[in-house]
Amino acid sequence: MEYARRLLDKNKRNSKAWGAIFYQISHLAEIIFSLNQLRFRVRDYAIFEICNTEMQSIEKTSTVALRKLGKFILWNASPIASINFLEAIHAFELLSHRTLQVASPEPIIFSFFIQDLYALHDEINKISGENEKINCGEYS
Amino acid sequence: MLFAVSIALLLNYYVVESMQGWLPFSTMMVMLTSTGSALYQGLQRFFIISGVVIVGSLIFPPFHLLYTRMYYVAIGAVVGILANIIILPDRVDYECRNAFVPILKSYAYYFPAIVDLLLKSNLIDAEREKIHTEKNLRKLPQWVYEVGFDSTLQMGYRYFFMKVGQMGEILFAMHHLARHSFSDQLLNVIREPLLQCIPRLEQFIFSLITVLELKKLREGIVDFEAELATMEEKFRVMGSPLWEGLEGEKDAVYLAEFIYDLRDLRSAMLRLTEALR
Repeated sequence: MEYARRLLDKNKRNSKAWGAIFYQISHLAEIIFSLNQLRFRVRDYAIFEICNTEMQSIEKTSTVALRKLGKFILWNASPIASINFLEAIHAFELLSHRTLQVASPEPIIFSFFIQDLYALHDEINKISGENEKINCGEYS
Repeated sequence: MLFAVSIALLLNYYVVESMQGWLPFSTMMVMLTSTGSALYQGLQRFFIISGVVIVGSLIFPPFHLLYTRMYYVAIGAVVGILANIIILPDRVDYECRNAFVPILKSYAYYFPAIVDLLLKSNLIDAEREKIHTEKNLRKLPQWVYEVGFDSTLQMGYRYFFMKVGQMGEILFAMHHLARHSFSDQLLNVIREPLLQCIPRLEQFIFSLITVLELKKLREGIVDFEAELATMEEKFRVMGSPLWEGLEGEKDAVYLAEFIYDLRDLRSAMLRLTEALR
C-alpha cells in the first residue's frame, strides 16, 4: 500500500483518477482483514465441516472476481461479473440461517462474516465502476 | 561486517598468503544472516559454498586445487561465524523492542482516530493514522519466522509477533466498520462508554510499552472491560435481536461487529500482557 502511495505521489498527473481506485483498494484490504477475524473467533473448528462446500465456493468465486478485477484494472480486460460470488454468498447465508445459527455457540459471528462478504462484493463492483469511469475518460 | 571482512582480507594476505578471494568471499557470505539465526544460516551458507567449490573443481580442473580452496573457504567461514557470534552478537531483544514499540504507539493513536471516524465522520485523521500504522507495520521483525531462529526464543517472540499483527488487523477491520454512516440514535447508545474506552486503551498500550522498555510500571494496567460490558448491555437493552443471533439491520450488525472487534482487541492485548510476564 505504501509503495502504491509513493507511485501515486510520483505520477501526480494521473493521481486523481487512480487515487479514487487506490482508496477503494485500501478499503478492500480492510474488509479482507475484517473477514479474517472469523479465524480467531471460531473456537470449535468442527463447525467448518458443516459449511465446507459453501466456504470453498466463496473462496473460488471471490478469487475469480478479484483476479478479474485485477485484469480489468491493469489491462482493461472484459468488465467483471461478480454474480457467481454473489450467489455463493447467498448460499452461505441460507446455510447460516438454516444450520449455523443453531449449531454454532456464537451465531452472531457468522452474521458479521456474511455482512463483510456483501461489503467485499459491493467494493469489487465499486472499484470496477471507478475503473470504467477512467476508461471512459471522465477524469481527463 | 566491514570489520570481519577486513580481518578476512588481512588473514588472506598475511597469513595464508593467497591471491585468491575465497577467504573474504566466504566470510562475507556467512555473515549475511538474518537477526537471531547467525549460526544456523552461517553454517548453511558455508555448506552451500563448499558444494559450489566441490562441483566447480570437478568441472574445472585441476582437481588438486579443491583442498586449497576448501581450506580458504573453511577459514573464511570460521572467521565470519565467530565474528557474528562473538564480536557482533545479535541483540534480538533490543531489535524486537525497537520494532514493536513504534507499532504499539501507532495503535494507541490509531484507535482514537477510528472512534473519531465512527462518531464524527472525521476521515482525514483516521486515514493519516492508518498510513502511519501501515508504515510501522512494515518494520515488524519478520526474521523471527526465519528457519534457525534461536529455538529457545522463537516460541515467545513468534507469539508476540502474531498478537501484535492481530491487533493491527483488528484495527483495520474496525476502520472498515467505522466508515459506515450510522444513525445518531444508534451511535448515542455506545457513544459515552466508547469515549471512555479511548484513554483506557491508550493507558493499556502505554503500560505494555513501559514493560517492553524494561521500565517499572508505576501503576497497574487499566482495563476497559467495564466500559465494554456497559456498551454491550446498552446494545442489548435497546432490543437488538443480534446478540441472540437473529437477522438484524445492516447498521446494527456493523455496530455489533465494531463492539465485538473491540472485545477481540482487548483479548489480544491481555494475551500480550500475559506473554510479557
